[in-house]
Amino acid sequence: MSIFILLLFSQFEFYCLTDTIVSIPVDSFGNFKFFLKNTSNHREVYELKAIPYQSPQNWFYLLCVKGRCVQVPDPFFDTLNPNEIDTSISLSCYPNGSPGNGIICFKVKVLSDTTLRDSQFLYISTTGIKEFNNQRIKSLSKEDYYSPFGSLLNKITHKGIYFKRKENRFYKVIILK
Amino acid sequence: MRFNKIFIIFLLILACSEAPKREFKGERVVLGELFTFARCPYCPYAEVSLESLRKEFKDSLIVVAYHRRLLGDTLSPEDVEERRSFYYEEGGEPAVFFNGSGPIRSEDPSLNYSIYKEEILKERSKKLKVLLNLEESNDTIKIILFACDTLLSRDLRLLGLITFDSLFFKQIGAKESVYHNVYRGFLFNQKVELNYGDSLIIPLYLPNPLKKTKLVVFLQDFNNKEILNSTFYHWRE
Repeated sequence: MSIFILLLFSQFEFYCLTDTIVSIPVDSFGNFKFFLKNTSNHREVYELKAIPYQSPQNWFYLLCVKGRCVQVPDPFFDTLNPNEIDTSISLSCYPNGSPGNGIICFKVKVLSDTTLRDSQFLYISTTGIKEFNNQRIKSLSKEDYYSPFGSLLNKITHKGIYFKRKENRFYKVIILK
Repeated sequence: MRFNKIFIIFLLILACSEAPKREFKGERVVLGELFTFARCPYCPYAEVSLESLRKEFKDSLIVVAYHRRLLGDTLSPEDVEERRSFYYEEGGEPAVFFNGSGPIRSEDPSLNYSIYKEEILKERSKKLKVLLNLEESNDTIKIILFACDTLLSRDLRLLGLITFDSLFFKQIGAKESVYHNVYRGFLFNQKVELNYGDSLIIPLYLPNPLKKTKLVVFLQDFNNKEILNSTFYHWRE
């Protein structure tokens, strides 16, 4: 009786060079960098593809490799010679002022043997509130106001920062005088 | 008798051969088409290289920056995607075309200048096939075309577009906030029939054009995407 042993060798090395969990201001953007090495003894083409698993509607993602960029989820094909390393791979996330959490799966597969693949989950969360509309008013309307700590106030007597609720949104009110 | 026969054969050969073409001196103006978007981190390098080359080649190089509507960029109208799909489907930006040939992309942005220059010189060395000029009188611009070479089995289209300079557009994550040579729309896309020796004059009525606007006119063969010649008119401040 003969026994055949099939050995599967990984044809590449892939990992994230930056932290895979980022917390960014809502009016900023996040960036992930990756390392990809062709560990095989022949030239390989790798398909790089990022898929947003969870993402607020207004968020944009950009994948850049070797001086070129595509909008996610468009794939990118990276050709590497044996032992060649590519550290130009980057994935950027732009929340565009929309707060929320995003989860992206970044996938790599070898085109000559699609069973050889790897993936990396990336997590993005936003901090802060985007101020998008500044209005100056002379007097306060008779509405319920909240303190920055969340307590309901019936009357405002001091200068400072307060919040008022309108159509499921909180508006920041700064009392100047 | 024998001399007469030779003379008749000679006359027949002369009658069958094509009339000698007149050689027109001049080089092609190169149209550089850049596909970009504001948040593309490598696109400013391509833009800077093209701007340097435009200063070097002066009026012999025209640059048009098509801003794809990606990641919130709204500088160019939506029909920019039609132009993009005419040239390529995938591969990403920045992508550059010189007289319709490309896409030219470089892995290292520091090589952009030399790669682009080589392509421009290659395009300029090609034979001049069509003379293209613009003449302004009052509110009308006359487009004058003259075919100085045989143009058979070609799908020739005369295209005219508007570009805008010094456009301010600020986005978080974008390296630049002022953009030049931004494509703002096609004015016409007209099929033309031209053959050797033909000339064509097309008047274009353009009252009160905005300052910093450039009218770019070019003749493209839609069969092989080759741009035969191009020209521009700049309304300066």
